[in-house]
Amino acid sequence: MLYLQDVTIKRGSKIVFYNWNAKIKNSKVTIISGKNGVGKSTLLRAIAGMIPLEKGIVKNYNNEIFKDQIKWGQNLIYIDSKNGLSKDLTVYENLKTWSEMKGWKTSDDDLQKALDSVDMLNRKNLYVSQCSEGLKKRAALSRLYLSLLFDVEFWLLDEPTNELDQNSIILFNKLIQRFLENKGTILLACHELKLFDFNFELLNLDLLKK
Amino acid sequence: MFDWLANPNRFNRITEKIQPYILLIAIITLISGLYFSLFDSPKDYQQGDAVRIMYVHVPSAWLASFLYFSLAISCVFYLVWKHPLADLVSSSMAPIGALFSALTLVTGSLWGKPMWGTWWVWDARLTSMLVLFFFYLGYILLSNAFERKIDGSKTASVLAIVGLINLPIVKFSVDWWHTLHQPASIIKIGGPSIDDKMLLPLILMIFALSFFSLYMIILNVKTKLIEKKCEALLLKSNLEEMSKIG
Amino acid sequence: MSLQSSFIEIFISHIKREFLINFRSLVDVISIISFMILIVTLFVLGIGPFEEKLRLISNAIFWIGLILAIIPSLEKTLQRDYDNGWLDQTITSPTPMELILLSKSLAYWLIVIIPLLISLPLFIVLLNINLKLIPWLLISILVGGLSISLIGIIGSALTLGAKRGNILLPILIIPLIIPILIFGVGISEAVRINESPVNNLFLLIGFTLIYLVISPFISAFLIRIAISR
Repeated sequence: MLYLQDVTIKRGSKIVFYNWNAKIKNSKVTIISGKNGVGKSTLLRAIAGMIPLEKGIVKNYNNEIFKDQIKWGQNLIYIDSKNGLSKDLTVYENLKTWSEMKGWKTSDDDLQKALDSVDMLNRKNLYVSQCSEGLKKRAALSRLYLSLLFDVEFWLLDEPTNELDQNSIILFNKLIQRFLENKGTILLACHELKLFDFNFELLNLDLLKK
Repeated sequence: MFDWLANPNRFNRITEKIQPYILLIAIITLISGLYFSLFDSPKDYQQGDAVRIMYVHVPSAWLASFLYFSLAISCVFYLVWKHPLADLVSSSMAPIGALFSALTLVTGSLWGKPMWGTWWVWDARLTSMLVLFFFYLGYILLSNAFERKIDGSKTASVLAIVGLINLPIVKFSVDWWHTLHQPASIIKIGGPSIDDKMLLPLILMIFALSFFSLYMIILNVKTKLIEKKCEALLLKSNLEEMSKIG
Repeated sequence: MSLQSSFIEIFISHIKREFLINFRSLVDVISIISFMILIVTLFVLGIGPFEEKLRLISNAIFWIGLILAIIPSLEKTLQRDYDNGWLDQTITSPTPMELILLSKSLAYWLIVIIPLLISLPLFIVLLNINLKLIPWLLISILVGGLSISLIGIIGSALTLGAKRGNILLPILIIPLIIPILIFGVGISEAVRINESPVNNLFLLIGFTLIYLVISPFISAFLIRIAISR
């Protein structure tokens, strides 16, 4: 369970959230929806620890998550539209360096399976510079499979379905199912709600701010 | 102390009271300083009347260095304690400090012509001052290089602090370079010994320029505060809207 | 749960990643060497083919060429990973940003230094550098190169996301690396006039050590600012 208590978040000198409270249930998918510019990405980036809170705390049960950066860093996956792939490396190398950076010891087998889970195994030696946006997104989402092996609790995903085709969305849904079975918590910013075939909580920022 | 002054309203109230006095002191010391330095101080036996440039050159150099130091300290306050006023103070100091370092370079060059016969000599002090000028320039350029002003302030503050660490090293290395390449026979600007009669106008001029820049800095900060107030008014309507839901 | 890999392993994996990215296409490596050759050529063309004159200032030309050749590639070191989102991934990882940046500057140091060391014989020939200078030159390039990359990372972090950052970067960096030039040339000059260069060398090492300590912290601080935008 993630509690946001009296959270104020600024971007530049603009206040996006002001003394705001929210609760995010665990082992569930929470979809953050709302108009463009309402603060979906800002909220995700703040929870991920990229935007420091002006005020307030975020708790995972009783632990303040930003107190222990090492623990929190192991506990979440954050993926947004930038993907975090180096275009001079192949899809496989990107995944490998990424898992090493997370501090995980992954076997070649794990990495292959991860790429297979998003149907990228046949493209594993493709350079990211040669990938389309959809392929890049799939390469980034292959991290989600790895996180299933390493007790990650949270996925923070910013518009993960934007460039995905029909088939990839099915694969993405499968990953989410598996994560929920592992008692994982997903926080997802998205416009289109009908893409998902699971129950979700809705956090509509438009309604909360009206 | 800083915390207490950092309230913009209090800052406005206090400066409102002391500003006229600061200006008064600046004018009085400037007039008397100029009188003494131009008419009532001895000529140098070597340099003649050219020595009078010193009364602008030395105070400017002193102020340029002092203002950089204060700027960097104020940047520390901004980054550590996040006082918005500290950022206004340092960004108000920057153009004035840059101006004084430029003035030091120009007067140094003017002084160099009668003394050494060339407009520019790569003297250790002048070279350090040139580097200082570029630190000011870098600070000003960087703080204006971002889409949002606040991003520039933070980043440029870090640069100012790096500069504070690096400047003494640059100063030392330039001195080192100078002794490495030239024996120490050259007459240094500022002269080896200063006549007592030269000391009085020098001190007066230092006071005059210090108070003048203090006055300018306060004026600058006030302008920026008014600018901020305009922004804040816009923001406030935004905020009130939010607190209704919150 | 504790970390599976130690920080040292993560550190090494970062250096490996930088190597993969930079040495895959040799464009960067070749451009640094050729840029330096061109700078040296410009100097010699400007001065004229007088061997006496050249001998007096060859050390200075070498160091200025070195610094100017490194600067253009500095901007990319962080900007590339900032644009593609890699820095977002590293900040949401368990590894401290300071460690990542230290590994980045060490990797960058090796990436720049290796081609320069390979091409060193070429510059010795081109600039008529005295052979007794070579060991000192090697040490001073190694130490000086490290401090340039440590300061370069700060510069690169300062201009992350700035408008016209590529023009701004040299203006911010060059004042900071003046001491490297002075001590570096000082070492070579001392050897040339048969004096002991150890004073200059110690100063250069001291300068580098200062930045070895402060650079990762300063640039990590700057990157946190840049990412929070």
